[in-house]
Amino acid sequence: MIVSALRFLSAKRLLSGALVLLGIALLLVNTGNAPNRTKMETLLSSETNARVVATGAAMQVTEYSDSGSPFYALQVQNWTQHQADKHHYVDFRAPIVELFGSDALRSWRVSAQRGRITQNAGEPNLELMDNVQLRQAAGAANSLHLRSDRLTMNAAANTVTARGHVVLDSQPMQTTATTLIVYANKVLEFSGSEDQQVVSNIRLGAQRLVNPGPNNAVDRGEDA
Amino acid sequence: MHNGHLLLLAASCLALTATATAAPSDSIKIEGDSAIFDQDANTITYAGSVRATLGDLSISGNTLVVTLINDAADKIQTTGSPARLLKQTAAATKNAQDSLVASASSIVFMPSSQQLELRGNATLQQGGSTIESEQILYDVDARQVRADGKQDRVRMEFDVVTTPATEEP
Repeated sequence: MIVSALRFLSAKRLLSGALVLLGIALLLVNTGNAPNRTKMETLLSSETNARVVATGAAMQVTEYSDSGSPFYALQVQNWTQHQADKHHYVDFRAPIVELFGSDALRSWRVSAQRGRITQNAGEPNLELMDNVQLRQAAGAANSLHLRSDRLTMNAAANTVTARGHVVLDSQPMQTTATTLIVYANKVLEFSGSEDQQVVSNIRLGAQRLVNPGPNNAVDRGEDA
Repeated sequence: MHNGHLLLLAASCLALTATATAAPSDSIKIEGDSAIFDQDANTITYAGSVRATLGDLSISGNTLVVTLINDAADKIQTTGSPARLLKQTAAATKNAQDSLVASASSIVFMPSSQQLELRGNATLQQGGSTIESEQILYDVDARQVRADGKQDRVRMEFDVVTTPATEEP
């Protein structure tokens, strides 16, 4: 039937029709080991040999720690699943994550510009990227505000790791580092790099007003 | 002009006034290779090439621990072998004799009292004078040094400058 239809086409139409058929054939045989790239993949996938396998909206993921308690809940509006050589991953934009971990990781709310869930060796790994902001919920003691370039959640280890330009605001100081690991036992471990140390600026102003030095009238709030 | 040294074995406590400097800073900057913030213990421990800067005061050592009470820094303790303190004022930049250099096993800064406490084999040098004691206190606001030998005596060494009498014409 196809052959008979082509007989009625001009040479130009014949070429266009052949290209359409070739495209349909390529889509139908899209089951081989070597992944095929499409224009859509190039736009959405950051990995050169990955292809889009699914897209969707309004995804919610709850990850549980090894003890069986919920570790975090992720909410995204739109997501895209990619298949690479040996793994697949899901990319999304504007994710909101709520942490349910014990102690230090409780009541944290995380936002970012984009994120990715990868599945390696059966373990899901959530990474948030670009303008990552992590805040403790209102009312928490020693409230902390963390900003970083990237943030990964490790449910197995019950830790959260921030990387890149890491800034932690907590009374009475601000600390910058290149890596920060938040452990469940309320311990925060900062580390620097070869060219950037961990730096803290601790404000002393309030204390100086409470306990003024004997020779400093200005700090005591007295008129000069 | 003739330079000489006068050695004094002073009583267990003494005080002297250091040269005037700029107003104390309202914040302290701490740098280190790594840091651990223990929220339960309310401490932050910095390690590896640690340096704390408070105005024109600079403290360096191997480890520095900040103790927090009620969201405020209560104590900042630097330890080293030894921990070192340097007070480099604008005047000291022009004249090295005006700078204050000190060292001890540990240097403790109490923000509420603006007091520095040098503990263990403490040595303080300024303007050619040297104080050696088990403990030396330095009041950042009052710019006063106080040495306490505890069981031992405080050792002071002064640089004495004697000027020959000028001949009458």
